[in-house]
Amino acid sequence: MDDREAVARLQAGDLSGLETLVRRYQVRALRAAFLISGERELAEEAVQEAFLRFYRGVRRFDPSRPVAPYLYRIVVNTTLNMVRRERRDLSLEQMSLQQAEALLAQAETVEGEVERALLAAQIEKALAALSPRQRAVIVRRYYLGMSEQEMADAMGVSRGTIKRLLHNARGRLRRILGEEQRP
Amino acid sequence: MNRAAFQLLDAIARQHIPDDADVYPQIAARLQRAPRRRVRLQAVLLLAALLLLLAGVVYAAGRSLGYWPGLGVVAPEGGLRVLTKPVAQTRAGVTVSIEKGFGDAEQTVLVYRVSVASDHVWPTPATPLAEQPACTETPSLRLPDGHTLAMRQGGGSGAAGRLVFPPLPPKVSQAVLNLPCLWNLPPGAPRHWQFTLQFAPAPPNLTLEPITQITFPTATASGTGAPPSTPAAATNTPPFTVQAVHTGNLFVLFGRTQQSDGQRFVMLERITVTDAHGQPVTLLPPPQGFENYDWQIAFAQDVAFPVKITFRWQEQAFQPVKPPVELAVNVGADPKPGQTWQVNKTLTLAGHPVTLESVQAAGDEAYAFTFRASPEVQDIAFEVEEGKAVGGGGTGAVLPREGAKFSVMETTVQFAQRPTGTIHLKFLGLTVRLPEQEASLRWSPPEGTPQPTAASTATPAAGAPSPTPAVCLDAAKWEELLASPPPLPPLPGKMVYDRYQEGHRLPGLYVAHPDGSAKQRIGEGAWPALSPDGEHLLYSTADGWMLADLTTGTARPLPGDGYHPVWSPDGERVLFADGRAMYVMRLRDGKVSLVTQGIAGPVEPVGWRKDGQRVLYAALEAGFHLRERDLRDGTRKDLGLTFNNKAGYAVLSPDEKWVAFADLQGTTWGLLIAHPDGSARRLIVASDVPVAFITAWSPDGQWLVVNTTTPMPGQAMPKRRPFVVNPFTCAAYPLPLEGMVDGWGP
Repeated sequence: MDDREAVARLQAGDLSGLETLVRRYQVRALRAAFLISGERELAEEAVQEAFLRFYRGVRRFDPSRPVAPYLYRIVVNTTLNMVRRERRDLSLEQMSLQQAEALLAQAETVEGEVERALLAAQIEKALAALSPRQRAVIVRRYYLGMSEQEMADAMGVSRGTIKRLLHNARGRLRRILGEEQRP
Repeated sequence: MNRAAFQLLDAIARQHIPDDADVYPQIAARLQRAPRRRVRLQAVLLLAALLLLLAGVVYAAGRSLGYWPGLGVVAPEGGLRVLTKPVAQTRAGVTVSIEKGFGDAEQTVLVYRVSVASDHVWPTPATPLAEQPACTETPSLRLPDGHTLAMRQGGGSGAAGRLVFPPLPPKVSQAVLNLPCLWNLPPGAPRHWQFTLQFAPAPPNLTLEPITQITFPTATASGTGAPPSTPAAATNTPPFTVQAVHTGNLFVLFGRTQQSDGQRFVMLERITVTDAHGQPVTLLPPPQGFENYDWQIAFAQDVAFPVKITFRWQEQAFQPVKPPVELAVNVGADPKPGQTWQVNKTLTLAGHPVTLESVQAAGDEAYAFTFRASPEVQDIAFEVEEGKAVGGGGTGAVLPREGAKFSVMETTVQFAQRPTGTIHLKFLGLTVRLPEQEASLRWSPPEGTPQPTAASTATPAAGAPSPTPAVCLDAAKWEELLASPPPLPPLPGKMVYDRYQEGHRLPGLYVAHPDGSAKQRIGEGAWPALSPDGEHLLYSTADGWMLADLTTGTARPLPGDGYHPVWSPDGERVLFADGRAMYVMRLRDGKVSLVTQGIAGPVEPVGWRKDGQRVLYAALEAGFHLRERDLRDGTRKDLGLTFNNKAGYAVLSPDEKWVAFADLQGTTWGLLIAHPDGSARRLIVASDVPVAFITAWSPDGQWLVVNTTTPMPGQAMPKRRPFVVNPFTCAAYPLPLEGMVDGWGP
């Protein structure tokens, strides 16, 4: 059953369509929600709620649209809302978004499992130091593969701003990498 | 996307969210607590339909093919075998029958049907989903020698479906069909079914619908976008095969996309069809059997021929640089990580100017190259002669902004040992996005197939308002009205609308005059419907039906639940749907009677005749068909109107002369009206307006609600803004209501 058929079934009241979509997208959705919230329980609750929201609005969903971006968008926003509701967005912003992006950019060049594991630990720590909203930017960009336009839409800024943000991040990355390589 | 970053993030999250994490049981449990749209007890055979795995299956153009209705495209050459007789089993009130099937050199196809004894249907509660263990096994065919053929494609609409397996070996005439998972059956019904099937050579009198080949006129492709900077290797011959077959009351056109030599990738964007008068032809879901093809469309047989079929597509082509062009960059004897060399040299590669802006030493043994090129350049293929790349590469163009003159591309190339001194970049080719192309062909069915009937040429019924020829609301007008809303004229009655509520499972329901005055909050729920006298509101809550008295502000629950209720003219009964069936509920005692069950798909209420004895509904069978059912004797009549909006949502006007409905126009939806017989069909809201399926007529039948939605940055739910449009004068106004208008009463 492809997505379109699953949506058509769901729009017809056939819950097998929902089950298909849940089982197809839940793991990535759960991981995205976890990366934003840092808590498995909250991630599970957010993903359940996100799928239920999709289900409740499915009769108005245009089946010609791709499902995954729409679903992931609901997941990110639902997670952010839940985090906010539980006042979990008060973490100190000890690390800038650009620094976290710089660490992620290193992923392209690391070799070997040990180095990769070290970098993963660094990134996890960096993520923990970000606010949920900042983590959502990372998740949208690097985990859900949203385009600049989608990110701009999701963040409520222009695409030009996104380009500048990314450009700045790259510049900072170069500086950080250059500094790190020095003895 | 940065694949390595993705993998790292995934690895981090995987420590907490394992691969087998499953929240569906919790979701199912939450749905059970709120069984608003629970599927009732039709037996639904869930077959884990696989995505198209038939990439290697190619039906050669020009080969003798035929279409077997309901089964698919058959290649009779090379020994066609058919199921000798239908096979059926009945257990615990459920009957599963394998009705027909064939095996040719390409595939084995079987069609099944499931039915449930009527005493198992409504109001017996469905088996709770949470009690149904997940079943991931797929159907298979077991051969006499013990080998099994796994289903490679399957699915259907539930009560009927189609299974595709690999071809049977030449001498095999018997196989056991294994159906491991039947879903949503009555309590106690078995889920696992097996059937022994016998196949025999096709009888000589087996007739198949003939398939005809259609060819494009020569040199029909034309670019529709801005021309590239140099002549592009655009396709002169449209890269599509086109075949046609007449089946039932439909013409189905289908074919393949020819990707040629691997140097060119074709992306079909859209297919549109217009009739002999230039009017858009509604495209309907094709019947089963064409899923293996790259594209397939269907339309009703009663269109005015010849039709014009227009393909729009885009291609990305690899354009080699011949001879390869080289560029030397001196990075010195000891490049330091982070060190950058501004190059800013422009080359002409395959006719496209490409600038190497900079080179930077990155990481331990890598260089990052930054290019600038015109937006049509998608990728640059190059190599560094002095060092063998061990990773990275692939320029991955940044998507150009609308109207941008250049796009910037970055790529990092990892070397085993970073070359130093003068390095030479050898450019091999570019991947270039070609302008969108378009090609059309005109086609009439071969002689002997049905010709246009009255439906496409009928004049409006006597006394009907004269249709206005032009579309009433398009995107430009919609945006203009949103930006500068004109004063709202006096509009009759009151509206019920719903608003999404953050953190709530169901939307809030409100009743107000069209100008927003006298607003009342009713509660939380879905599918609100105003009674004919405007004094009651029926809606669905998490606990089932709720009937609110708008005059007293009180509400009382009614037994059962469902969706899309439509009040009878006398206000004593309600027509509603639930899954694949439609019912009438008597409000005074809650008694429910089954009106009809969809055979191949859902049925959706549309309206009542004034006599209160006949109901209109839409049934999905290769597109939605408007039908009428007489509640007194159960007789059914096809009224003629067909449309395609997946949900089957349509609304009958108060004078019964018009039906409003969303319909597929190309790839998006527009809002139309037509007489119930399908005549005087007219587009009211163009498909470039983001219109919702749900609409409503004003009590005087002069206005239509047009619900529009706008995606909002950072919001899960789009902003919803209803409009009213007079389809006869084309007057249009945005309403000062935020939400979606579900109904309009006196």
